[in-house]
Amino acid sequence: MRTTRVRLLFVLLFSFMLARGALAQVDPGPRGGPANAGGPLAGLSAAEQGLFNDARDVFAEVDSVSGGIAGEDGSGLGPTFNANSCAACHAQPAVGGASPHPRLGQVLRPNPQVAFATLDRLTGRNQVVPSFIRVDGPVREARFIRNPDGSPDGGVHGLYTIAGRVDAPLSCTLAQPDFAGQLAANNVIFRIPTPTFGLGLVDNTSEEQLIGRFNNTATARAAAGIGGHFNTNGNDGSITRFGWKAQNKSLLIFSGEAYNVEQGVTNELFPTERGGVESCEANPTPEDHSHLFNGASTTGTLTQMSSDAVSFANFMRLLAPPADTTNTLTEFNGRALFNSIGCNLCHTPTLVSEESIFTNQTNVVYHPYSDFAVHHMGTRLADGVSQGNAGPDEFRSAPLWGAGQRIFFLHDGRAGPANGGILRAILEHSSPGSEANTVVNRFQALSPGQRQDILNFLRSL
Amino acid sequence: MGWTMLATLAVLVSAAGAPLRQPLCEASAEVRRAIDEATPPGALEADFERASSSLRAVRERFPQDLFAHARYQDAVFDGGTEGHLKRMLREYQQLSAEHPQETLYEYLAGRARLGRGTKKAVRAMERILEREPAFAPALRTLAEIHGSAAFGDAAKERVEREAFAALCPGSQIARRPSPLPERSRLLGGAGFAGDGRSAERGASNADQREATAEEIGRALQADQARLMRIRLFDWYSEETKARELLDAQAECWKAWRMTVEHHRRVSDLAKADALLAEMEQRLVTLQRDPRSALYRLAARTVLGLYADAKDPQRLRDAFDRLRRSLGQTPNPAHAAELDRLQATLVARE
Repeated sequence: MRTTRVRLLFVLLFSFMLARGALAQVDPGPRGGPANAGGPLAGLSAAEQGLFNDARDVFAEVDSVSGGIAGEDGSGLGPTFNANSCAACHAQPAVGGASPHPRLGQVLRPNPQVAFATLDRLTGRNQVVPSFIRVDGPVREARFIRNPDGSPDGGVHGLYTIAGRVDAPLSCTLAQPDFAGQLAANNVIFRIPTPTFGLGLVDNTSEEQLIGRFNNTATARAAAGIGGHFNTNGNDGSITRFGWKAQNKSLLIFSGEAYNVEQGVTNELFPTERGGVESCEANPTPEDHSHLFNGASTTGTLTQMSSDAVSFANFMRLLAPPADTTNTLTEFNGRALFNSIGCNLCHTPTLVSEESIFTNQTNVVYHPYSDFAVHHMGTRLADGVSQGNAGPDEFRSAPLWGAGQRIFFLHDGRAGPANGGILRAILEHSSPGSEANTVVNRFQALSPGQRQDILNFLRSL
Repeated sequence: MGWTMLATLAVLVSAAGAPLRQPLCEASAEVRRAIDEATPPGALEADFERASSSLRAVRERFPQDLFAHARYQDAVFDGGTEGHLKRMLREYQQLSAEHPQETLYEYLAGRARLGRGTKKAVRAMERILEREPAFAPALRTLAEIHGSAAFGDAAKERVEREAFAALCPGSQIARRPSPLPERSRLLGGAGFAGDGRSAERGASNADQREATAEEIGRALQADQARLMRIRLFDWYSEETKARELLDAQAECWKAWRMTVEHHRRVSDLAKADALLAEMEQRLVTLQRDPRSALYRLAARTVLGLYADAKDPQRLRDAFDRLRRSLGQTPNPAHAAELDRLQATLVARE
């Protein structure tokens, strides 16, 4: 009798689990197989492909303080920094991408930021890995919301300093920021690296088109409670489109800003050393600059004569978009649902580039899944930081191309493999004040199978 | 009238026993004592911030004393960072602007460019001498500059030296730049030979065999600090800077090898393996550079350490990994080096 009862219980439990498995939707996780990203735009000339290859090498160059450390030939690192190379963080699924993961995705690499606490440091001079940086977590930069006097900060505070590195000036003793104290005061927000695939096409898309497509959806957006506006440049009033709040005007500005903020390398766009600590300033500024000489010669390739920042921008300009793999019934169904419930109102699927200086890059139809406008995303996602015209709870519609291979989602990487991944990211769109509430409600009203179709579709991008 | 002729005139005027002004040859005993107290031997090397702060205090105590200022400037030249050097220049430019008619501050602002914009320093000194041919410090500074390797001009130096000697008999003219710190003995200081031999030389040195990770790190740090004394100054040619940079990178490979050996010696195999893995990653980076001058040294160092571990499988795996990564950016020279190493090291097994 007892045995029968146990058997019945087991069968019921098994049936429940089976049903639940069939009904509940789950993020399939980062797509395996080839990277389908990281190469040059299709149709480039041989010379342009050569430029791409050269520029990619610069993008992957590792920086030390003065270039005197073997394998870290670039110079200018610090005084504060989050990483020592663009490619360290823009890694998954290929150079140019986003945060890597030690067990998922294509590159299978731990968060590089953990190693920077000990890399090239003297015995006993290691720095502390901040609590929000984990081996299997997203690459992050930290911003403080307020200054100690209560005024808005919003700026990036480097995770590490060069103090204690073998190549730092002997007099440099600059300490890391007090992240534990700032976290306790709820004064820290995070940003993760954005993938750079295909951004040359975005850079080369006219404002008229962005505005036109945005206006085309005005009625549908209004019906779904979606507003939105473009972030704009304070000088010429033109649309800015790069970065989590669309705060950067161009790929070149984006490169210069990131080089300075993330690696501490002053350059012709951002020539001022951050931190203002004389004892840690090791190089004349700008540390990265155009070259008058290539060795003893006054000529060289474009990359040899250009600043690193220009080469970074060239790499991104010529970097192909990620290729989607949408080809199954569930993925096609998911795409249709994605559009029908209104995800596409902000994650605009298609744009077209305009006249290009590069071969075969004029009028290229591409699929970024973004309107490049900023939207109120509600209290849950609000980070309290304003950038340009983007307010404390406003974010650019994150381009979804390549989402299939991304490990972490949302501006601070809060959604990832540990907590539901892309599904969690969708649900986080909903909170008081979010323009996405109606669309998320529609998503939740779908059947589990339909929701799964959408997740499958997103993982095919 | 050229500055050389003016300098000659200065000598004549001085010889006639009619100095144009107090010649400013040496610091007064009081100032010298204050300087000595502020910077006892080794103070600048031990703690630059503290020593330079003491010298700033001397400067504030004797605000119009040229030698108090010059000693501070020399301390910054010898131990300051780019940030300190910039600040010093700003300070003296501002002082000069605040005292437009005073040669002392004009001189100090010009002198602040020594080794940083030396040609501008020369012009500043020449301007002063055109107005005050017997301003001994400017003659002294010009003689220092024209006695240097980078800005050497024997004829000018002789005239300046003689003019200065006439004004300041017995006073010395410093060598520019100041002597560089020696390369660390621990890391060999043999310079880069391009083939890895320099980094392997001295491996039998007992100090090197016994060195701890901390000592090796300090040696590496000292050599990187020495590099900064070269990088930031126009006393050194671009070729010299490039060579020194390569030497410093070569020393890294030696330092890391010694550190792995140290960890193995004290049976801290986890640390040894972690550092070796990190070195291998750096080698992979070099593999992508077709012009890398250090590839051979790096490959020999990394693979030699794998071979030293007496684990043939690990050595083979390392070769396999390197060949795979080399396959992404093929380079016949690098591939040949791997072949040579494999023949040597596997045979050793």
